[in-house]
Amino acid sequence: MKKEINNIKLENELDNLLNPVLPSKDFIDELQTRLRSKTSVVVEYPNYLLPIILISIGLFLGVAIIWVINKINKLIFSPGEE
Amino acid sequence: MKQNEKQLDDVLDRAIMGDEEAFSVLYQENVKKIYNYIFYRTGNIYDAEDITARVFQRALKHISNYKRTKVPFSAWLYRIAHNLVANWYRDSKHKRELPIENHSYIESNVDIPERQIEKQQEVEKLINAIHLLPGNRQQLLILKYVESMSNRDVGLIMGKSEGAIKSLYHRTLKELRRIIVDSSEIM
Repeated sequence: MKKEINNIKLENELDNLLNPVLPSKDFIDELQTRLRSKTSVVVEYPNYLLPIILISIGLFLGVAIIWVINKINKLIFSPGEE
Repeated sequence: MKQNEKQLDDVLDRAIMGDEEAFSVLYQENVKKIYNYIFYRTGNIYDAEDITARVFQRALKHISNYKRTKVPFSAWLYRIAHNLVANWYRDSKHKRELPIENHSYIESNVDIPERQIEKQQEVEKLINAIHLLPGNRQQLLILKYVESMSNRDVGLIMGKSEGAIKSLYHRTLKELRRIIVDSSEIM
């Protein structure tokens, strides 16, 4: 009987003290926005084409300049040797 | 009531197909329940908000794999929440005794400030005792008292029969009473 009364008392206490709580409205709205925006995020992969073209042009120009300098050097020094 | 259930079924079907608006409806329908469950399991607003956000992010990610059964959709969300709270307990064992943060209660019939403080302390003591119970018993008490669910509905969410819930409930009350008596003897 005593055990029964104790259980009833504990149940009443649980009933009185465990009330629903209100989450903040800002939190609910912000999370909803985050959930919506998450699906509309577009993943943009980097475009490697432009850097590859620029590096290729740079390398080509570098090689060309060295070739031209070599040619000029040869032209300058070759008459003296003759 | 049946009309509302049918509407929610349609909404769930659309959400499974990837309809964002439909998922928003499910979110609005369940966010407060899930938040309440997590708040009473963790005992603080910060973690309750963080874990609630993760529950819905995970639900959104996996909703296309959701299989329709007779169990309500909220049971799936509660299961995700239960698992995330279990991870939280595992990662932060030191947080087992937590002061319950001040929160605005929906059903509070306490107007006098002194009585409010008194009630806050009583809630804190009770929650600390509940936190010493195993996870499934905490879940049972929160669903039964905070969400005012019947044994049948608690059983649907916890994947147990009504009889099993009844028996678990009585064992839970017995253990909770023992914890409260032990803690009052120490004090």
